[in-house]
Amino acid sequence: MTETISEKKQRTAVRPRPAINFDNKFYFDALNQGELAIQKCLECSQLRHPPTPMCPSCHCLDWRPGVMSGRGEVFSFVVMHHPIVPPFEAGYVVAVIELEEGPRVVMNIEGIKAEQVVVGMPVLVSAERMDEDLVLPVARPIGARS
Amino acid sequence: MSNLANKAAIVGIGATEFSKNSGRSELQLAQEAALAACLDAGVDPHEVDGMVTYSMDTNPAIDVARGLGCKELNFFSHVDYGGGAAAGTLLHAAMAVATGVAKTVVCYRAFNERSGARFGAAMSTNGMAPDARAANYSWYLPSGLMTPASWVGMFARRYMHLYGATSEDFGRVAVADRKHAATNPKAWFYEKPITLEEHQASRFIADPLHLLDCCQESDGGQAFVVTSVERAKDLKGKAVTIKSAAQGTSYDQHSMTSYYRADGNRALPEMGNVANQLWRDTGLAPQDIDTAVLYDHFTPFVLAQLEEFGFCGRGEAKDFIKNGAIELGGRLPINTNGGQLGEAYIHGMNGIAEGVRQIRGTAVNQVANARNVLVTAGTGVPTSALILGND
Repeated sequence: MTETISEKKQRTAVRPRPAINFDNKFYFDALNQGELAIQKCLECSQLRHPPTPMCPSCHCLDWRPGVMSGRGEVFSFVVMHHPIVPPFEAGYVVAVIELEEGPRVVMNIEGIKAEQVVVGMPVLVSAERMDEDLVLPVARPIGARS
Repeated sequence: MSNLANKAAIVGIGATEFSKNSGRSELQLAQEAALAACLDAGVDPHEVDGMVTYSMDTNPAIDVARGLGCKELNFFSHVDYGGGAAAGTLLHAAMAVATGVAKTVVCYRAFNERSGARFGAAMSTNGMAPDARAANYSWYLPSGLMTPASWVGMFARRYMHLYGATSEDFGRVAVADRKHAATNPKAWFYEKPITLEEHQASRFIADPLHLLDCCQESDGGQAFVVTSVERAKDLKGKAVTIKSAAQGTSYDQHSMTSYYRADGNRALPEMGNVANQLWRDTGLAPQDIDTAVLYDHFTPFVLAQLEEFGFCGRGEAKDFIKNGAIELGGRLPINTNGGQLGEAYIHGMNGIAEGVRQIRGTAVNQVANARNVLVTAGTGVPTSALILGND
């Protein structure tokens, strides 16, 4: 059986790439090492996400990546139906996850049917490989296997 | 009161037809709308000395000015943050005429947003340098959160969870808009009202948002002429006073994705900032507003705006809008032109034109004795709003 153009697109398409610069490189580097890291101020220890060069509390420019536990809960979510761009498939779930350390991060939820996702649901976040060049955080319901 | 209140007036409004395929350039739409606004005002286009538009518009001020034959411009401003800038253009124009920097300012927005580049399509940063603007999308696009509907849907789900609002509550906004569009011959959905059942049956775009929670994609242009209230008295166009206008952000502001604030349960504090400025500047209160045009790219944020402006308490908008309260004849008719769901999506500018018509008494769905009209700009982004009046 020959493959249709849309089938080939679905098979070969990759997710959009992050635009990586001085300010956010640490985040994607950490994911490549299998960790979820959030920017942490060296002066006042405040966590901030998305990253920005200056601490909004103490204006310190020095920071380090703070590795998160991965535990969190669903703060909100959407189920995507239109438009669907390959490699995504209709019905995927994107959520704002509130980490137990406080910061909120946008990521996909996997390992559960979309209609079973609820706000407040506990999840475990881990770094998962999407393709050769991209690792992203993914939330799975606690107890589910990745 | 600021030095801005009651200093400037809108003396002319002009628009092209609103369509799905204009068949001409965005620049032509801009020039047509600007000329129509000048004719309505009774202003010689050659004398226009100021121009304001906003980001995502492809028509530079000098290109619009070439067509109008403006002799010289003394003021040109390009307001940031897309639809959030719509009322901001009038703020910038009002500041320019109040300070004497310019005498006659044209504010405009024109695009082929349906037949050309569609805002509802998936966002991409391909080809962009990895600057702060592109890097911002790194938190969303790789996970497939790529469209305005998806960014707003995230707020909507949280709102439903917190306050028990339902998709039907969002649908009531769509029903009101489409009811008003049904009697507006300029509206794309003229004579096409919808029922709440049709809203519920429409397909999901970004669950919890249905298709009928989302505004249209439209082609068209809209422009205004702004001058001082003194000079307005000598012009043909019936002047509508800018009682006040304001822009606003709030702490840890993002564009469409402010998911990170300490009070994550409040979706639009930036609109609360704008509301506070307008109430303080005009001395008016919610009960003084006769009708409002509340930015409706997506229905859930209409509820949040009602709360930020104090028309009702936090989480109470779902009760406020019941029983036709936001429809013509209700306690606060909104979007009497049909809004961006019903009339057209001209990035908030057509709503300001409706505000002008309500004060002039020339709206097709006229609210009797409308004296104070509130018009808001794009929500979820750094935003703006204004209050129009006749005194």
